Amino acid sequence: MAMQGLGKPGVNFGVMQSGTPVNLRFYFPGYAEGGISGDLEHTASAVNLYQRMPHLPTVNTVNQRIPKILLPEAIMEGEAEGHPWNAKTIDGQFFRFKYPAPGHARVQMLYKYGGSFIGTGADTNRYVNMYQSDKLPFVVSQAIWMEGETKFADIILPACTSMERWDISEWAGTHGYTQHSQSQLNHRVVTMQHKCIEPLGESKSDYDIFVEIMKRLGMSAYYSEGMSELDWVKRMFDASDLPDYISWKDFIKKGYFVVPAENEKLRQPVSYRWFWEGKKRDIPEAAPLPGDYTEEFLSGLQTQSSKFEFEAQSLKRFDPDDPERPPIVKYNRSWEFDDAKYASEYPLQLVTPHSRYSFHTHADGKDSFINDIPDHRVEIDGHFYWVLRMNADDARDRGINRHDIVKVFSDQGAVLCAADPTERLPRNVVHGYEASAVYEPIGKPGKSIDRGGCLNLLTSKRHQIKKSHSMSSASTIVEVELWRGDAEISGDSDQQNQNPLETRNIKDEVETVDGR
Amino acid sequence: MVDKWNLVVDVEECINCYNCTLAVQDEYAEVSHVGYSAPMPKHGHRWIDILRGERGGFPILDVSFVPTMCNHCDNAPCVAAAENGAVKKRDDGIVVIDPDKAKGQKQLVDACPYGAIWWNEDEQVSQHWNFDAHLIDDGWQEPRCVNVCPTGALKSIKVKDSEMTKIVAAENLETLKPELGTMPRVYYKNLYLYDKVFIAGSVTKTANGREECADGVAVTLINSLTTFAEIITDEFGDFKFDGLEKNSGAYQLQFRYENSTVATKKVELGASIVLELTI
Repeated sequence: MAMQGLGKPGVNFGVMQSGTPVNLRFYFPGYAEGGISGDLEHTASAVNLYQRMPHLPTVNTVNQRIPKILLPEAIMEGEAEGHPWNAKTIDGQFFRFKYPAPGHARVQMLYKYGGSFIGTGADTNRYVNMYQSDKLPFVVSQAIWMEGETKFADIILPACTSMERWDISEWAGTHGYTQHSQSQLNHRVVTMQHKCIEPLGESKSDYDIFVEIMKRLGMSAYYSEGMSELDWVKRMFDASDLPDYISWKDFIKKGYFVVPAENEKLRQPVSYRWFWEGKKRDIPEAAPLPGDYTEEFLSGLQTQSSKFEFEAQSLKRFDPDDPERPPIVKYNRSWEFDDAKYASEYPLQLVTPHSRYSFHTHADGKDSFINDIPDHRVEIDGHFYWVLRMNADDARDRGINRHDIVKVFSDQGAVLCAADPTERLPRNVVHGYEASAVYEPIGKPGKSIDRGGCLNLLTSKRHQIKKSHSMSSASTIVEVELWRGDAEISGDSDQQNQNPLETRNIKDEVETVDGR
Repeated sequence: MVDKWNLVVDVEECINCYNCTLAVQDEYAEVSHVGYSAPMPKHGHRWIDILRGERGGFPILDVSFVPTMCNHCDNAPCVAAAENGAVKKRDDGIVVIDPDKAKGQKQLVDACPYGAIWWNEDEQVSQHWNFDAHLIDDGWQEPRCVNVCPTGALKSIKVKDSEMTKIVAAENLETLKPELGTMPRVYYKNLYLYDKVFIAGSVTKTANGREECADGVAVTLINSLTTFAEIITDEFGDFKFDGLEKNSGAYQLQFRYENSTVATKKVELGASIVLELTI
């Protein structure tokens, strides 16, 4: 694309503008742009929302952080290092931070929101073992569903679903984190999320849970500003550009607002067209920030040379000799092929793309309708098994037929799945989605086969390269065999389970939430 | 003559998103529509079910998805098998199993040759996709499955039968198991992607000491009955003869390049065949 002229008509990323021509100037705060008692430093609140909706900000005085992928190491081994994500500038990602930070105390409590780590992280038996370790003294889980890692918590604060509380939001509104995410839609739509029923059982909205905690800390007045959830929804409505188009009463009654497309004459120009024409940047983009321009303000790309670079000057300055990420992109044979076990024990490469029929763990498990989609889970003897796709010849070689229960395993863990032989995969590649909401170890958690479908137990915890923060989930090698009814991960005699089919039902040890 | 409901399923457009199946669950699971349907069980029923077909193998393969449901047959075996008029064929073409009259009539499940009737153990009644009759009667212009289909693979048409006959001819529509004489009102377009097979291939040639895609090769397919239209290989050297009958015996392919016959191949056609050859 660079060789043809990025931004030239017909040569561009995305379609039309940088997506559909929605009105990007209409303001509605995105999910990383702050809100109730907002975080000024780690959201984009200071840029827009804070001006429009002044409120008491929350400031975290603790500067310590842990890379999420190494949380188990930080807890159990006592240290971890990582590279931060930085929204302000490219160079921000080159810093390295350490846990524990100088002079800072170690983690004593994990307050976990939701229960999805085991199904969506990497090499996640580490998290299972972390939760059971004495080195993590106290765990709170604020969760809607009794699934995944929520079962390991010391205290569970049941949260209600979005149907049981008031809220307001915009479709694909991830701004503050991603830019112009709405341009993937045909229209920008802001929705009033009506509260349909009162929270079931003892569950509360997240906001009410936080207010209750703040009460006990003597700070609820500051946190809530005396507002109810609906009050905050109205404040967000007022802070946005919605009042210029629709009244609060009409908005509640209708339930949504479709942002009209911009007058064609006022529409922002096509992405990168200014670059191809050799002009100054004339489209509304957050990056680069004014201080990051190498030449004049609004001239050139967000690179050190301002030009499109084939040799990354930023990497040249940071680490020109990094064999894993050289300034000029080169092919690097992925490490798992050189793993001694690849040739002998684990000859299959596992790919785990995002779930097709759920958004992460959102629609999976929890007795959802999605379970009845055979390309998502298959019901065998009353249990809904996750689907593992494999090359038809690889399956035949192993005596595996469609919807046989198979064990897919590596040194890290083992998972039971329903096999789906197919011609759509080449030899030696197996495919199963990630994001199982259900973690159901047959024996001891962390040391036995999972029947829930968490293929993320098997993925690698390595970063793609050492000097970044990145997951390398595709670099996973496994073997697949017909399940013999055992509970062990891979024949390790330490883990002999005397009653292989005895399912340890962790649910029974913890009070369950009404109605779920 | 009155207007009657028909459903058209375009196999080429179905992307297996399951929105149709989910819309049915959303509408019927654990909900009673008085006079129309008893609650559908939360799990275990798929009143709209999607069949998957794979044809061929690397380097040429394709996958098709075929939504199936009650066909609302004009000559419905379930109507015949029902007792006490428990299954009604309406004037608008829709077939409805009466949730009260059909109690205990498990025989309806086996009566349907399409597997479109499901037994509800809790409610003790046979159930099916009823074209969302309760919504249609309430003024809906289309059933929910059509409403949620993102690609237009499902379309509902309410016209006189004489008009539908013209549409069937013009768009080459088929029904499932026509030999049974059930006369379905659910039609399929491009069904060949699922129930017919292909003979395809990828041709390469050696040029300048390298293996190159051989475009411009004229491929002819012949069997004892027909000479099929010639296909010229594309830029990738690929060709595909589609719409052939499964298990239809011996075929011969002839490959002509730059005015001479460069290869012939004999095949026995069971399932789809993929050839790779170098000329």
